[in-house]
Formats: sequence, C-alpha cells, structure tokens
Amino acid sequence: MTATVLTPVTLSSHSRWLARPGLYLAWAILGVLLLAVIFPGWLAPTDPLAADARLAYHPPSSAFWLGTDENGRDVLSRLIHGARPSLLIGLAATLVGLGLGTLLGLLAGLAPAWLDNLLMRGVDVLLAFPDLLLALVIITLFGQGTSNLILAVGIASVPRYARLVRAQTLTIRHAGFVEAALTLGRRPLAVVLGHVLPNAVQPVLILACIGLGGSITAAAALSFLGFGAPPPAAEWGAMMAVARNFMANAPWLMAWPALAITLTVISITVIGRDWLRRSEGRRA
Amino acid sequence: MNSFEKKGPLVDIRDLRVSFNGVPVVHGVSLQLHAGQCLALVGESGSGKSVTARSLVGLTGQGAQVQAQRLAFAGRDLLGVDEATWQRLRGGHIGFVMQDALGSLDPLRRVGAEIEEPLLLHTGLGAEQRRLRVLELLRQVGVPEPEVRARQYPWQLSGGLRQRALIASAIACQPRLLIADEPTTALDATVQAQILELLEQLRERDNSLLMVSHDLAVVARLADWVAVMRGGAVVEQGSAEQILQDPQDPYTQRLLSAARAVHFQRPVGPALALVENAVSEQPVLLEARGLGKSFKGPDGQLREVLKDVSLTLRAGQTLGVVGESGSGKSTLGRILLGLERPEHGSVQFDGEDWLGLSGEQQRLARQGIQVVFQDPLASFDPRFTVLRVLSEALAQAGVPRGLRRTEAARLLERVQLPTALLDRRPLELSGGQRQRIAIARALAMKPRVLVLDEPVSALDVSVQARILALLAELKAELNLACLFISHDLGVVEQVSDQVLVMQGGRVVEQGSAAQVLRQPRHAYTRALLDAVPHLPPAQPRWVSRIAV
Repeated sequence: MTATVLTPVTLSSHSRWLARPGLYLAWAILGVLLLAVIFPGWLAPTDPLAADARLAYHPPSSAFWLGTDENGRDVLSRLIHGARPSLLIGLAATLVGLGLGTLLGLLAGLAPAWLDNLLMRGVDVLLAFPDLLLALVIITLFGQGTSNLILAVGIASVPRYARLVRAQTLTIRHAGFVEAALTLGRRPLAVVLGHVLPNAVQPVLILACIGLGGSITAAAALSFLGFGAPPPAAEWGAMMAVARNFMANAPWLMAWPALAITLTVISITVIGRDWLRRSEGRRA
Repeated sequence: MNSFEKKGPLVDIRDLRVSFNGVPVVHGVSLQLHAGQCLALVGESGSGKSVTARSLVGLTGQGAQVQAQRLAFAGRDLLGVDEATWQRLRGGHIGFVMQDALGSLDPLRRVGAEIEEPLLLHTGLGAEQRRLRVLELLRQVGVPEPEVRARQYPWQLSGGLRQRALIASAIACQPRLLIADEPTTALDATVQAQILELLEQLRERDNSLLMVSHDLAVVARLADWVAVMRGGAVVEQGSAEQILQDPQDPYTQRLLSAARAVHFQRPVGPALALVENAVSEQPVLLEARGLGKSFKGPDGQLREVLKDVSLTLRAGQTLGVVGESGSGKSTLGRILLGLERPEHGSVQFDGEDWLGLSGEQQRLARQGIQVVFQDPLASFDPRFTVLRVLSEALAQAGVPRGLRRTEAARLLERVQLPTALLDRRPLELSGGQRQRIAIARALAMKPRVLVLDEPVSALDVSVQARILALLAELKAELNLACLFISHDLGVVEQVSDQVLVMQGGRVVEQGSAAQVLRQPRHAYTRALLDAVPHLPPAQPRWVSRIAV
C-alpha cells in the first residue's frame, strides 16, 4: 500500500504563541497601561506634581529612571499619571464618535431614500474636512477645555462609523430573521434594537478599537497645540507641548511622552487588527 | 501516452481516504470512470461526494489529508503531485463546474475575461485567437449574443446564463474530464433542464463527465454509471439502469423513493375527462383582488412585478404558486405577509381589509399569517440559540417567561426534533433541522395562514420529502391554510389543492391541482411540466424476466 499524505497542516496552540510575539507584547503593554490608569499612585515612584527647582533637567538616572523636567518633577511619575487623562480622552472621544455615528448610520440605513441621501451628504461634507482641521473648528466654536476636546475629536470620527453602520444596516434590514421577527408582529423599534443593531455593530466595534489609537493621537495632538488640559496637569500631549521649549538641552522630555503615545497606539491597533482578522475567519 | 494507458480507466480511484484535521470524512472509496462515460456520484449533503470529486483536482481544502491506494487520472498518479502539476491539470485536462455560479465568477471581471483565463494559462493562443475562441465557446454552450455577453459582468447575467458561462470556461481547453458539482441545484426547473441538455450534448462529443448531485432524478438521464455515497463510503454502485430500476441497498431505495415522492410523475395515458372542481365548504381566509406592484429597476425605469393578481385561500387548503424566479411569486407572498405594500388591489384577511388597517392593527393581525423562508440559515439571528429563537415568538404570543422553555420543547416535538437542540445555535444544525425550527417558530403564533416561500428548495431531495410530509401532517392537524411558493412543480403537486401559475407578474393559469397539472391549458404551464426531471418507473428484475 502506497499511502501518501498530501498536506499535513497542523498548528498547535503553542506554536501560535511563538508565531505572533508582537500580539502578546501588545497585550502586555496594554496591561501595564491599564494598571497605570487604575492605580497610578501605586505604580508611580513619586508625586507627579512635586516640583523641586534644584532637581530640574536631570537626565535619566538610577534615581529618576526617565529623568526630570524643567520644574524638577519626575518624568516617569508624570507619564504614569498622564496615562489616565490621555487614554480617557481618546476613549471618550471614540465613544462619542461611535455613538453618534451608529445612530446616524442606523437612521440612514432604515430611513426612506430621501432622508438617507440627506444624512449621507451631510456625512460626506464632514468627511471632506481633515479630522484635525474639523476638530480645530469645533474647538474654536465651542471654546477650549477637556470636554470640548473630547467632543471635537469624537465628531471628527463620526463619518467613518456612520458609513459602516449604514452599510451593515442596509444588508441586515432585509435579512430573513428581521422579516421573520416583523411577521411575528414585533414592534419595528424592538426589531431594530433586538436584531438589526446587535448584528450591525460587531464590525463597527472592531473599527472603533482600531480607531481608538487614532483618537488618542488626535487628542494628544490637540493638547500639544494647547487646546487640551491646562498646564500643571500631567497629560502626554501637554507634556510634549511644554517639552518643545527644551528640545535642545533636555530631548528626553520630548522623547518619553512621544514613545508612550506611539507604543499605546501601536498596541491598540495591533490588537484591533487581530480581532478584525479573527472576525474575518482568517487564521494567524 | 502509450496504448496500454489508453485502455485503462480515465479516472482510477482505489480506497480513497480523506480526513480533515484527523476527522475522517471519506472512508475507502473506489471508483472508476472510463473515457467517454458519465459517472454520477449521488448522496445527501455531508456524504463526502464533493470531497471525493475535489480530491481529483487537488482542491480538498485546508487541513485535508488525502490517502489512497491509487488516485490516478489518465494513467498518471496524482498522489504527492506538486502544486505546479495540479495547476497544469486543473482547467487544462480537468474542467470543474461548481454549484454556485455567482460565487465562482469574479464579480469584478467580465465574463469573457473569465472564460479566457484557462486559454491564457494552458494554451499558446494569441489575443485575437483567444477572443474568437471565447465567442465560439459561448455559442457552443448556447449563450445568445455572445459578443454582448462576453463584455458583461456576472451579476448582469441570469442564473442560467452564468452557469453556462462557467461551463464554457471549464471546457475552454477541451479537458478530457469535466467535473460538475451540483451544477443545477440553485436553478429553476426549466433552466435546470436546459443545463442538463447542454451537459448531455457535451457528453456526446466524447467528453467524460463526473456529476455530483443529491438528486437521483437529475442524474438519471445523463449517467452511465451511478455510485451512491453515504457517510463517506460508497453503499452501492452500478449501471444507471440497475441503480434506478432495481436498487439493492435499502439506502438507495430510500433515496429513490424520496426523489419519486418529490418529483412530479406525469400520468402516462391522457386523461380525457375534465376534472371537476371540488366545491369547498371551508370559509375564505385570505383573498387578494387585482394586486399590482412595480419596482424601480437599476436603469431607473419602473418594472412591473405584479399585474392584476387575484387569489383566494380557504381554511385547510394549500394554494401552490408556481413560476420561475422573477415571475413575481415571492413579491406576492411578501404583500400577503404585509412586508410590502401593493400599488393596486386589495387584500382581505379573515374578512378584514388588510391594507385599510392602521400600522398597529396590522402588527397584531399579522400574527395570524406566518412565514417560512427559503434560506433556513438567514431566517435566524446568528447570535441566537434555538431556545431564544422560539422564545422570541412565544413572548410575542403572550407566553409568560417561565413557561417558554417547556412550550419551546413542545414546539420542537411537534416538528419532530429532539428537545436537546434547544441550546444549540441554528448554525450548528443541518438544513433540514433548521427548516423544521423555522416551521416551529411560525407555529408558535398559532397562525391560521402559513406562507411557505420555497421552503424546501435549498434542501436535499431526501430531506425535502420528509419536510413535505411534516407540512402535510401539520396542515391536517391544525387546519392550516398554506400558500406554498415554489419553482418546483413536483413539490407543488405533492402539497397543493389549488395551483396558480405565474409568469412575468401575471397569473397565466389557475385551478385545482389535478386540473392544472394533468391537463395544462397554457403553453407556459406545459413548458414547466416538461422541465421536471423524470425518473423511470421502478422495474424490479423479475418483471423483465417474466417479459422474456
């Protein structure tokens, strides 16, 4: 008997761990970040606001791991305490965009053609402006402050979510199970909330996860431009804005918050893309 | 190739075993196909017939392990062949036609380019020669206006034309073997008949054919040799006559009787007397008068889908609505369900004017009319378990939360399913089980009218027969009125008391089932009847012995 095995393809779960170290690194970074968000005081070595002019501009050393800033505050502590506002602004902005976008998309997908066209043309106008420019316009209109920053970044991301939700809704609204629920005699609103929304929202959540990184960057950029949290507060974008003045003699002041933002955004994006890949049924 | 090889079988499979990630799917299949012959592989879904056919072109898929004593095509061993050789073989020597023509054609490429691809890969023809060959191929498979069609995209063609285009690309390089995997399952009966005729013509030109199908009747007229598969093994094989007329294995006998039950058997002798319309005493439940509806087409022009359609449905009766796809029968069903509003005409349900009701009243009245859709998977929210699917309906019917589980279990018993399925998802169930659950959900509302929109056309023949039997039982038990929409006359004949034949949005013939199907008056009804696949009557061996 000449038995030949043609395609012996087997991947154990163990080799999958080794095949994708980046993904697990991303989860590890996210874990540390969450720790910093929840227990900043426990993780940080000193008070982020304790200034001491004698200790200003210390480069990284064994006492101050990441050095000190112009007021002699510990950069590591400020970074750890800065995680909460930086991430929360990004998260809140994403939620605002997600909520408004889902509502608009759902409405457009279920509405008669004229309303759908009206809403989508409005979204197209929003889409025509670069995100940051749009956010700047909104801040100029509503004034400065953290809540307006959240609103601005959130609204700038509405078009993406609205388009995706609308497309999903259009395919699902004629699905057999939606029509079956209608023939059962359920109220249209109950059918939308019970069947259309939950089924339309999954790809949108994936997009939101990937978009979270973008929102964090945008929020930091606006803080950097001086539209975010007012000075002594530790926030990564604001830290960079101040550090810009001391680039020549204390470059690490710029480097650490920049690195923190970059690592955060990359980690979240890597996790989001992995989620996307798995939802598409592709294997690692 | 030497003369010795020419005498051997074109396809030689001995003890083929395929497993997916260690789970065996095909256990020791042996088949031979000689040049110029047609071998039909018949079995229910999951019997391993497609995997067997696919192992001949190296497309068994990811994670598949193929083992065999011998797996040879034209004397050449296919075991352990590298990918480059497979690529030369596929399209060049073996053509493959798949079931889903829309899914198998690239939506972004013109049909001509799709057919040209094998020519580009396997022949040295120049661009102009290839173009001419594409047109010739399209003409050969019976596509009208090949110059126009070659420049169109797959979605611009009808299902039948798409399937023809797919066949054209499969035979482009004049392969020695053509594998057709369920080539007609997704098609209307008349189109199915045309495609089968085309395959028959191709076979006459000395092509060898490997047909894979779940329906014995479909392969009956084409096959020389039939192999019946079940659970990954061949249970019986033999010449077509032997299998169709005197099957030995009980499973083959069951498949055959299912096919007989589902496919309409035309009476042999002409019935002279007009069948009298039986006078029904049952009250009229649903009545539609002069329904009209038009949709805006992609070119912006209004297309009339329904023109002046009227019907009457009495309690306890089944009205069969027959027609090809695009004849407006589904739109009719949707209007009766209240999912679509007609532009003209009126619908009366239980003596009330349906269209005159307010939205809220319509919502409540709707519970009396329930529906079972064609696609048994799309009818369920993919996140829901069977219990949740049924609970949704039961909640609507006013069953308190605590009783829903027992009620749902009772519904499952009613459609002859084990109650253990309650916590499974429809995704994990077979097509027949899913359709039973759809019926159970409809029954939860205690409806008086059931609209069945192609309820069995996505199912295997043997499963079709069982679902139809269940429907007949339920109908008698609950005195249900059914509107049965189908393109398959055989199915409609089996369940209907009254039949309504639709073409292009109009009712062309209407009457009692016996009259319309035995003595059709309209040419279109006759064409539909002719398209139904035929099975030769059973003829056990002793009959021929007596005749001798």
